[in-house]
Amino acid sequence: MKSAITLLILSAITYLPACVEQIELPLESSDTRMLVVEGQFTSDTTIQTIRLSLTSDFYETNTDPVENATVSVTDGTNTYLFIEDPKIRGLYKTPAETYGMPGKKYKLMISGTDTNGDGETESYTAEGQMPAMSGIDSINVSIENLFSNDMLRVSYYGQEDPAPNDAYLFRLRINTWLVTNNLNECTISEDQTYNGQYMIDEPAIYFIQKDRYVRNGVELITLESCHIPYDYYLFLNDVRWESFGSDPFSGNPANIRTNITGTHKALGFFAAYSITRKSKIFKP
Amino acid sequence: MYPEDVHISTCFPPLSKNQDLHDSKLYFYDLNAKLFLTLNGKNHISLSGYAGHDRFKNNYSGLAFGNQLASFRWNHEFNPKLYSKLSLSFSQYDYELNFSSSEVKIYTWRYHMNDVGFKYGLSLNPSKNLEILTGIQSTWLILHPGTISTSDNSSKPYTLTRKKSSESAIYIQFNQKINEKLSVKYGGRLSFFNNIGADSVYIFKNNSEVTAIQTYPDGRFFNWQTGIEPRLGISYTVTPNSSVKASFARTRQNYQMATNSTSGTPLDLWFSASKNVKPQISDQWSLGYNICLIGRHIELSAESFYKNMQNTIDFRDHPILFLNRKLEGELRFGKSYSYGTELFAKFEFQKINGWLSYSYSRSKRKIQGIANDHWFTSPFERPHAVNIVFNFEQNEKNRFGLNWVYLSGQPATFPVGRMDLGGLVLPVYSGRNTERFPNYHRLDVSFTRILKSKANFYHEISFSIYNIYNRHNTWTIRFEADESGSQTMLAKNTYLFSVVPSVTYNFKF
Repeated sequence: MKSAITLLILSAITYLPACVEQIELPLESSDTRMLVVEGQFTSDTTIQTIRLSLTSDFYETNTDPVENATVSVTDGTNTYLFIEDPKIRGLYKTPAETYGMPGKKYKLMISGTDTNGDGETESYTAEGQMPAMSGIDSINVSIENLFSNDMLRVSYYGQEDPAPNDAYLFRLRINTWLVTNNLNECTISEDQTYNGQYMIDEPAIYFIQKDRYVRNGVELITLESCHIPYDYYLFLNDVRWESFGSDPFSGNPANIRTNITGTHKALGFFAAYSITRKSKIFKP
Repeated sequence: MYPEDVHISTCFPPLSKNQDLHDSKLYFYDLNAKLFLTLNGKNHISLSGYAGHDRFKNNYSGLAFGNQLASFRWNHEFNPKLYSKLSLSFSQYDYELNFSSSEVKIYTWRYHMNDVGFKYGLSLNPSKNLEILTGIQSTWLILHPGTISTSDNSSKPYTLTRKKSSESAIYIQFNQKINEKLSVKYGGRLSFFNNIGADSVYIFKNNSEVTAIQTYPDGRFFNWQTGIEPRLGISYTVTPNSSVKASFARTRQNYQMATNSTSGTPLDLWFSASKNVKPQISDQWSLGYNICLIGRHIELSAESFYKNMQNTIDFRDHPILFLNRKLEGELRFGKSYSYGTELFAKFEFQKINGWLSYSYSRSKRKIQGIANDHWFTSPFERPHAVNIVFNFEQNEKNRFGLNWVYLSGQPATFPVGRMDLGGLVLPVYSGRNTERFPNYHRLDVSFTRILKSKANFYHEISFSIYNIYNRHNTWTIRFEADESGSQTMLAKNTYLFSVVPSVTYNFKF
């Protein structure tokens, strides 16, 4: 509930009575480029992916991919090689049917890159432990009117892990369509206010416009509950504040935290997490 | 009995051509009331009250903040050489954010703080060259860090634990005239501070890791803090119209404000000293020169200061501020300093009067865990500040006023790069407060017509225009992706006020 209220307030702040205008604001540029890692290793049996790119000046319209890197993930016993997709540069993939096991620690290794163009190759690493599967028994789907729009509200029932500092990332699929396709549309939550409780009708998704996504008479609604490491939750929290911009509760702007360490300073995150899914047929 | 003074204002956003502003409602009021009673030649009593409230509102959300103050004073003369002053006061500051998710449900986030104060002072004049001021004072403060509730009571209100504390002091000050040219003021305060239960205090290791929770029952005093605050001031009369002043003062600040964003909102968070937060100790030195010219029609002064502060607080990068029971874990601690010079000129002639000032100041801080532990610019630093106030009395009925304000832009943190991650464009920064918002300036003008000026009743009406040249002073700057989907980032300036006309009616009786 707390995360629902937080997101609601963030949205309301954008409606605060004020005037907004576009301005020309010159910004400093950074001469050196940094590696950006977007890496996950999940419990799904699938093609696991890691995306590598470079930072760019703020007003540029795109960023460059990092090509020809050597990327792997290891649990100490097994090593999974990620091969660059020949069609999508900078996207590295495992073979199909690769999966991680909850409880295991995974280490990402990146080498063979030269992000700053000094002719020297660099190497980077990051580690993450995969939490247990989250306990969701069932979900509920309803419509709630928010800001004069009909929104999908997806809530869940289930036992929360009694250990402290658990965190969750919720995504929504309608039929096979992942409608929460960027990090801001997902919901993140941590268990400070509900640690160890049995969750009853706890809202997980609340800002999906019904009319935009619910097009057929009957839809298969699937809630993906990702049990994520707490440090990944803090990273996602940073991402959310920075993408929303300045608001009364966001604190000062600051660089998003990272768990990537290496030859040079790098950005992004590598996280291992488990995914649980529950579905329900929804008739609006 | 002396007058009461009431001041009511309104302004007119519906007149704005801007549709955003047109749909918004903005109102504010200030009410002042003062009552003076002379019981006899040796006893004087005064009661005063103030209430002010500002509210911005539109269809979906609202922001409101306000102050209420009340005080009682009793001045008593024991004999021509001994006076006493007793004062009791109450004040409240609050702000709230309202937002409606639907037509029936309104969420309200509310923060407020109350304090009750008591002060009893004696003024003793043993000789014409010596005045002794001494007394005791005490203030009880309650911080209500936040409550969120719904208008339809569909959810149980979520309330953070209130924080109670008290601050007391005994003080003594000697104002001594050494000779015709030299005067000195010296003395100090012995201050005491403590927190008051009921409270659950999180004890942190490495600033944010909770190692213990200490619980205190209702009414229990704990975390005593004591300190001495010496002060010294010297004034030397150079000529009958000019003087030099120098002073030193140490103060212990048991309540500190931490700014939680770069937008200039009133939504700041106050912290009392605690097991985790030490009182801020500041030492300030100042040196000034003052001269009066043209039969004292013009007064010029220059004053410089240097201030050194210990136990300064600031929020860590990306603090979790909203409904956080462990809010003190989001603080980081360090030291800071500031220095500056103010030039001031005041003039007063028969029909015109006013003043102008210019100040140059800098303020830096070094906080553990922020900006790689390097010195960085304080969020309050405004290097250049200019104020010009000019009043013209056309006749006994009509007055014209002009007020121009200029401030260097507020320190800000702007991106130097971007990264694409998770379907989002995210900023990369070089450091905290390395840039500034555009400079702030505006011109206000007013016309006041005195309607009636009698001994038992006085009233006037004032028409004023705030920001007459429509400067779009920055409230905050956001960076957003171009709506065309090109991933081009744009800088968006948010401002609260353009031109704001208002009418004020004042009356005294």
